[in-house]
Amino acid sequence: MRRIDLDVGGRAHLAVSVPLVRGNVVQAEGTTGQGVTVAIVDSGIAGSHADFAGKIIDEQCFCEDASGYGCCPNGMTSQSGAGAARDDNGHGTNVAGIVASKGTVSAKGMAPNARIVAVRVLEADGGFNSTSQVVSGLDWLATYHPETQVVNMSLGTNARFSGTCDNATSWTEAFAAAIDSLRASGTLSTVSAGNESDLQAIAVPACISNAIAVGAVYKANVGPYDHGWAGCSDATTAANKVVCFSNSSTALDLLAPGSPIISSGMGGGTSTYSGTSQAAPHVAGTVALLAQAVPSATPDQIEQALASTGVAVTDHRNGRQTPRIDAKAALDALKGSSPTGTSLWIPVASHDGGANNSQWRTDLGMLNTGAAQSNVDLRLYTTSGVKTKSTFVPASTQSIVEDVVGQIGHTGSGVLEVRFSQPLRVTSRTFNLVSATAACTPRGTFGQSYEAYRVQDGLSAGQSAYLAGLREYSAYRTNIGLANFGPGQASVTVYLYNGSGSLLTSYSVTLNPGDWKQENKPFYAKGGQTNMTRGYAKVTVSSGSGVVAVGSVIDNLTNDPTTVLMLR
Amino acid sequence: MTLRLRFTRLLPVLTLGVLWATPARPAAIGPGVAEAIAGQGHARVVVMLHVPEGAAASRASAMDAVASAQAQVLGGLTTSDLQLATHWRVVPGFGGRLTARASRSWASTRS
Repeated sequence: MRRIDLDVGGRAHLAVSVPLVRGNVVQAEGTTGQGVTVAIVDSGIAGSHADFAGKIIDEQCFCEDASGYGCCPNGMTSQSGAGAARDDNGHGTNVAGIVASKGTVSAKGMAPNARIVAVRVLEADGGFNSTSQVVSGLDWLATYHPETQVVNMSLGTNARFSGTCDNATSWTEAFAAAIDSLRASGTLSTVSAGNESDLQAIAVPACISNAIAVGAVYKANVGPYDHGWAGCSDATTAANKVVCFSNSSTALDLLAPGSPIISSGMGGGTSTYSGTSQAAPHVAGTVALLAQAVPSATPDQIEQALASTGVAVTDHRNGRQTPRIDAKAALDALKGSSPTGTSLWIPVASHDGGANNSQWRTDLGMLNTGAAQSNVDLRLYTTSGVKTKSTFVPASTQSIVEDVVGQIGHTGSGVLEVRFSQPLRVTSRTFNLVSATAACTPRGTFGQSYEAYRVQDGLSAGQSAYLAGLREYSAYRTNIGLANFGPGQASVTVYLYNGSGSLLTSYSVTLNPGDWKQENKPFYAKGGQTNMTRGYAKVTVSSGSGVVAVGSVIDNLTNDPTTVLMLR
Repeated sequence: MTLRLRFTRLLPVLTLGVLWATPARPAAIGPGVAEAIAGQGHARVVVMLHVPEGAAASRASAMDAVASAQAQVLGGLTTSDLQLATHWRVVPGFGGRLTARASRSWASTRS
C-alpha cells in the first residue's frame, strides 16, 4: 500500500457558440464526428431525446450517496446497459448536446454525428460524494470502451489545486492513473476548470497534467450578466471575454464558450446553462472532429493542434493568456495541409522609402532544423488588407526570402506573420540601400535585425515595457513602432522621458489586429524636443494583448539603424 | 434563463501528511482519516497501491498487476477492516470505508 486519503466529493460544473469556434465551418466541410465515440461522464443523459436518437451506444452508472446507498436509477451503486445513465438532473443532457446533438430540437452540437457512451456518476442534485465513483467511470471506459476518442468531465471536486495535482493525494493519483491510462490508449480527457472565480487554482480532475483543463468565455456580447449562483457578475460581456466565475491557474489549458449555452434539455426540449461545464464539451466535440478527420493523430498531436492554433485570449482578471479553441484552424494544422500550425510575427517589414532619402528593404530568414518540410504562409498586414504569399522550407535547410515585402507585391511597411506547418526559426534583417551615387559605400547596406515574436511574447493589458537608449538630435533620429499581434484591438500609451527621468509628454495609439504604427522623431513631434541625447520611453498597454514596441536609432549621416528592443 | 445545479454536501478535503507503514513499504495516510474514524467509526478513503515497475508494458499486463496488488492487500483484510466500495481494473487502488479495527491494526504496524 502506498497512500490513503479521505475520499472527497464534488459537483457538476454549471454552464451561438459553435460558430464562434468555427465548428460549423468544419461541419460544412463534411467532418461531423462520424464514427467517433465520445464519452460523457456526468449526470447521465435523456436517452429518449430526439437530439440523441440512435447515438447512444452504451450506458453505465456508478453512484453512491453519502450514506453508502446506491443512487443509480435501479437504486444500486452501479448499473449497466440501457437506462443506466438516466439523467435526473439535466446537466449531463445539456453537456451531451453541446458535444453531439443532432440538431433535431436544439442546435447542432460540435460533432453531431459522434456516438455517445453515457456514464452517470452524479446524483440527481448534481453532486458526487466520492471521487471513487468518478474514477470508476473512467476505469470502466478504459476497460470496456477503449475505442473512445475523448471523455468529457464537466465536474470537479470542491478542493482546488494550483498547478498540476497528480501526486497531491491518493484520489488525485487515482484520477491521474485513469486519465494516463486512457491517454495511453488514445483517449483524451477534457475537464472543466470549475466555477469558483479562483484565479490561482482549479478543481480535480482538471488539474491532472494529462487532462485538458478548460475555462469559459462568453459566446457573444450578451449584455450585463449576473451569475448569482456563482456569486459574480460581469457588467459588460463580449465574445471571448473570460467569464467571471471561470477558475484559472497555470494548469489551465484552453478556453471555450461557456455562457450562456442553449443545448438539449430533459423532457425533450432545450436547456440553458452557464459554466465551465459548458466550455469543456466544446473542446470534447472539437476533439471528435479532429479524430475523425485525422484518425492517425495521437492525443498529443490533437492537444498540440488545439493549443497552438487557438485565439489568444487574455484573462482580464489576472493577465494570463490562454488559447480559445478554433476548430477550423486546429483541423488545418493537424492535417498539415495548411501551414497554420504556429505563427511567428515580425513587428515590421518594409519595401519603402524613408527620411534622408533612405530606401528600406527586409530580408526574411527561415531555418528548418526538423526532418519534415515546413509549409509556410507569409501574411503581410497592410492598410489595404492582408497580402499573402505561400512558400516552403525543405527539411534541414534555411531559406532567405530577399525583399520579402516586394515579393509579396507590396510597397510600404507592415507586420509580417509567418505561419508554418513545422517548427521554424525565423529571423529578419531590415536595411537601407545606399545609393549607387553615394560618396561612401555606394550600393552597400546598413541594416538592423527585428526579432520574431510569438503572440504571447507581446504585452497584454496592464503590462509595460521600456525602450532605452533613444537619441534624437542632429546626429541621430529615433522612431518608435508599435505592433499588435493579438486577436483584438489594443490601446497603448507611450510616455517619453529625458535622461533625468522627467516625463516630457505622452501619446496614445489604438492598434487593430495586425496593425503597425510608427512615430518618427517622437521627441520632437510629440514633445517639441530638438536635443534629446539620452531619452527613453515607457510603453503601457491598457487593453488588448500581443503588443510589441520596437525603437530604432538611426544615424542621420549614414542612415545606419540600430534596433532598440523593448525591455520588460 | 440560466439554470444552476445544487450542491448540498460539503465533504472533508484536508490532506495533512501522516506516515503509515506496512511491514513491506510505508504508506502515507492523509489528514482527517484518523479523525473521521475516531468520530464516525469509519472513513471513506481512496487507497492507492504499489505496482511493480514495468507492469504496464501492455494493457493486459497492467491489469494483471493491478489485480495482483489488490488481491495482496484485500486478501489480508476482512469486512471488519474495510467495507470495499469499489476496486478498479486499470487504476491500482480501491475505495471504501476504513474501520476503527483496521486503523488500530495498521497503527500497530507503523514503523
